[in-house]
Amino acid sequence: MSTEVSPRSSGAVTAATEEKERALMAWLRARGSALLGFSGGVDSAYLAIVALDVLGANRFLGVIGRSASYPEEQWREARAVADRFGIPVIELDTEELRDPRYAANPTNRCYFCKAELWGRLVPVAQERGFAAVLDGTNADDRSDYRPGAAAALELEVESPLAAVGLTKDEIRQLSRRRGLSGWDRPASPCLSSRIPYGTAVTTDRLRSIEAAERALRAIGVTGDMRVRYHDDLARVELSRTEIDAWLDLDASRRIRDAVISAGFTRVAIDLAGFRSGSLNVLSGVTAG
Amino acid sequence: MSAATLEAALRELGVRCTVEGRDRLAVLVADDADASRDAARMRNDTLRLMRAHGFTNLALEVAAASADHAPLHRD
Repeated sequence: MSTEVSPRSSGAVTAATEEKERALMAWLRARGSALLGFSGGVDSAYLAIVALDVLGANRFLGVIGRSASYPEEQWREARAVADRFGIPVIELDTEELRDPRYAANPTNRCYFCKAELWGRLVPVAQERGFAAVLDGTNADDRSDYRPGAAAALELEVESPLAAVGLTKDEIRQLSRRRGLSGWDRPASPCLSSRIPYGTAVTTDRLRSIEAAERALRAIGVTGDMRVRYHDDLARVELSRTEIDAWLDLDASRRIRDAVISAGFTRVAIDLAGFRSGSLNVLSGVTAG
Repeated sequence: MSAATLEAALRELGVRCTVEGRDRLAVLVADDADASRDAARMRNDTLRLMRAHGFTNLALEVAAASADHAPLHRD
């Protein structure tokens, strides 16, 4: 399981990190052209900017895969980054929720999602003559439990950030230097990651989770935050720098009201705060 | 891993509550507003007890403003 990147990096770019960026640019140049699965998160946004810089707009394309598990806020961010930097993007709908193997939410759920995503993107790359299909996996991700990586491997999707050893922290530093406004934005994995393995993923549940997280942002919750789905109960994980303030009785009731407004009937605040992959811990799943 | 033994340990610590076990998640339901404040204040101690009793996550249920006494649910 990966650890939280906190505090998010604001340090200067080191010579070693500079070297990794040069290696990334050389890696991309050697491919000649590429199509990227573009979520709008820090990793894929940084990779898109560098790839556009190296390859140019005619030999690079970002593709946004949209489904109910992809937060709308993330989609807005992806479009904003693309508009600002002139990144060529197209959007494709993905239908992983229609796959009963995905909807049943097994521990390898991400495999079926990525198989659907890459199964749609790889043909687009072939039709348009792109030499490589890329994802935004970074060097830190390799230590996490990520069954989706197997689907990428099967379809020969490459991970240049990981290939050159760029960590999340380094990507944040480099993104900041390139003027990417979301360089310090909390990670925003797919909404299905809030539902425990074995509990079915449905559109209604994803919508409730997304609405609850949006309502929490609206009352002032910042930093890393997740609403974890436990049937009638929403377990709210807050940044460790904020949790004590939100455990104040009045503040916690604002949390409750916000989450109840999204359709949950009970609300609990996790006393340990945000943990990346906390449902993996609950399920006893570890990187392997 | 037992919700009942964790509950007893928390009460011994001074946190008046009920514990609802959901697999490895323990949901702490405070008896009233004062107990909820105590659980928050003694957060690190409650987490230590949670781990000692085999749970991986401990969450404090937030009761409605109008209800000092949260409902008790058990699996």
